[in-house]
Amino acid sequence: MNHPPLFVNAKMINYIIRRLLGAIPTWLLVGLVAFLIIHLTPGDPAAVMLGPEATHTGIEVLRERLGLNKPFLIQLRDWYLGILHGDLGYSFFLGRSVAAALWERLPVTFTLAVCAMLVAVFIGVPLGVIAALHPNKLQDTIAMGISLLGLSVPEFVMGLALIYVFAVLLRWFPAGGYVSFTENFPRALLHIAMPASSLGFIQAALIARMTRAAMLEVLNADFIHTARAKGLPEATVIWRHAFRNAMLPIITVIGLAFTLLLGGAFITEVVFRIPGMGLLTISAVKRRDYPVVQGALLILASFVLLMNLLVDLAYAYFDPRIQYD
Amino acid sequence: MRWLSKLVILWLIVVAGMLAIAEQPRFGGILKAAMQTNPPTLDPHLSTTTATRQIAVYIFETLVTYDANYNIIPQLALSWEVSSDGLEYIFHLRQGVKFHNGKILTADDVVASLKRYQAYAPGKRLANVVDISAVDELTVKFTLKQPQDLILELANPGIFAAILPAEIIKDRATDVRGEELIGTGPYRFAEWKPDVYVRLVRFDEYVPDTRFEGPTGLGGRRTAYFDEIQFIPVTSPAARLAGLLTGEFDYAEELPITSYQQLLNSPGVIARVLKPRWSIVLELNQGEPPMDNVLFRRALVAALDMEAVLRAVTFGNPEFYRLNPSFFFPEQVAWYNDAGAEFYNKPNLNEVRRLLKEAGYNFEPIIFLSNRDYDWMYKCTLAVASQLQQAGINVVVEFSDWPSQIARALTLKGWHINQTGWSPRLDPTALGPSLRCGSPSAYNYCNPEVDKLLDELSKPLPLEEKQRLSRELQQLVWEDVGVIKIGDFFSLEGLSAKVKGYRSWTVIPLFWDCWKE
Repeated sequence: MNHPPLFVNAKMINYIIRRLLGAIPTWLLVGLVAFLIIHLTPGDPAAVMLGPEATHTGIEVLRERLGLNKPFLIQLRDWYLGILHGDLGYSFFLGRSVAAALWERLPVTFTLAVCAMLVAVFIGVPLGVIAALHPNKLQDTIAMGISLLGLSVPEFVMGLALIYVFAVLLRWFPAGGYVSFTENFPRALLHIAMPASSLGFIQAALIARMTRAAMLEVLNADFIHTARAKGLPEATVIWRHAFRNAMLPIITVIGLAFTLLLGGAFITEVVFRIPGMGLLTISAVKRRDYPVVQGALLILASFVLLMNLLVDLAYAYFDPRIQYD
Repeated sequence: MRWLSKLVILWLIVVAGMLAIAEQPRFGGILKAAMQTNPPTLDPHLSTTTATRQIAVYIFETLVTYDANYNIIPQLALSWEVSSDGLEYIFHLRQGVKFHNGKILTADDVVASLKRYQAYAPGKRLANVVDISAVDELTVKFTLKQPQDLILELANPGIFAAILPAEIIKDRATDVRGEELIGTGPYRFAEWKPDVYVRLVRFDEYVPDTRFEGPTGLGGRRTAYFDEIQFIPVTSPAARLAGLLTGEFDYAEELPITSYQQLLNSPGVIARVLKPRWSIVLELNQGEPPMDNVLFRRALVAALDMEAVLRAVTFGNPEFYRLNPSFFFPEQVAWYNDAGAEFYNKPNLNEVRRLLKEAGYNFEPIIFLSNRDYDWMYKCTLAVASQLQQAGINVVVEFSDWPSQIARALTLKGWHINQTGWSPRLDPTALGPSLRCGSPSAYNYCNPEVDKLLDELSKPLPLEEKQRLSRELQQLVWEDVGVIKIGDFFSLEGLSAKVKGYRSWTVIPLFWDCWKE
């Protein structure tokens, strides 16, 4: 199979530039929504910082110092101006720039999401293929039953159940915490195994269902019958002919699952004490650390936009009929 | 047979020796403590939050502090004198006390620290002090506007009057961070990775207070045995429990009460009921009708079966609650009293009906603010709301998260009852913010008689006199229904069985004079 030259195509570059420019209004809108949500939520960072016995005067002094007593629109303008200069603001709780804090946490969340994605793909795709090869039989029922379980169980329940069984009862894995892969590979693997499984299992369900549907459609196509009539081995028919042609919707769902994974990672990070962007953002919401929440949501939105673009680009790779105008 | 008995005796000696060695304190090791939250700051002057206090007591020391029996004892102060008119306090400092940066403590450090505390600590601290000055290198003088028991204010661990080096703390408006977190305590600050840990390491040149035989409360002769203490924020109670059971943590605070039996049955783990911990309290917005009517407020009290509420909060486990009408805990021997007990836990529906009728209550909605962040507050609210509704009061519960609830309560408008909990108030003047006229967290409650009693209690009077006034204050607040005390609630903490010598003081786990086997 000849693939089109993916990144040297002028049309493609043109398309990417147009998509990136088109993403700017969405991105600014997400920024506005993030700003409004956290600022309109009751609760005052100064009051949280000073504690329950703070006086009105004390709170006012701190608000002034933190720049929170400026009019709402001025704060919004300052924030936007900051973004245009690549400055996401300053976290008064962390005592450092938001960009630096998020940059430090990003690899952790990204590692978790990638590991969870691997789990999701390695469970989801084979389950979907097995189900499609045996439609309405026992294998299909079991595969789809497992996927239904994954879809129905919330991340935190799955996480706590895994902790109880594999950490507390069996003592196979640590109950939480994070070790970087560059620091100690085997320990990192032990620490990431349960959170990645808990997060990945849920997305595996989605991938399995989509793989089954896509494979079923392709397996009934004429070219599959032809391939079989030619006497090709069944494995070749399934993986080279059917699966490759079913990839398009699967890629879409994998792309979608990745963005969902980033969202789900927020909960998983709390349950497993993983110091990533999710834990940082949830702590920031609790202490009303506005700049961190805004910055994190903006980064998350950027990922979603980027992921959608990558999925669209991947289409052309897998289906040469798709052209970008 | 003789050789056999000799062997048994020898074996017993060896075992006894091993046990004795195990009980001997030993230096070394890392203690990992799972705490329920990140501190908002480690600057001891700038926050009243428990999370800040729980760590600050290791790094910093104060002129005076509390012992295990809630009595005030000197810490950095050697002694003090009060002038006959009560307007001047002279503090003599201990000699040779070292800061973590190697500098020796002097009066200038105390002056700079307490002036900064006075200017920036939340809650109008040292408001009655007009001047703090250094008399000589080891003597500090406080000049007051009016006679006041200054010792009580300086010992307040709710907002720590910590002493830091003058060069760091003098006129400091911003919060102290990182390497500037320098005190005279047994541990020094090493590292803070938000959401990961706050790491403290033993200060090897710590100068212990040799006037005491051992540690007591927050003071005394403290010895740091662990090389390092890590305070790890773990917000999920289930994750704290799992970490303790798997041995990842040596200590975990605020565990689910429902796991008490599981902890008792788990080898290698010790379950501890932490008392005193919380007074469960309903604060009332007395500026919002019908809460401005004392008859209506009394109807609320008469409608409440406190024991049933406490049972709901604690899953019926009596180890975790105590009926108590006092604003102080029985452990606080000096201040505990039962004034107002005639109003407490005496549910009487006929009396409620009579009071509501007299108050002219017309089934107006009563807005009850609460949150789900603290499970015990949530359960308490549900139980209280149900009892009040059964008594014919139209209660409408509004849940939000804790910061939103505080912010909403401080608007002083559009609500009637605020669900909260008080950590131990160490003396009657600590009730001031919740009871004084004009105080934001008194929520429009104002009784000049209460203010007068609080003023009297802040003066340097003999203890017996203060106890009488404190009792009078409590009686008055119950008659007036300034706030409603539901009862005492205790929390569950867990500890590795390898950790020896552990104690706690109110909400503060004490890891000095504590070691691992």
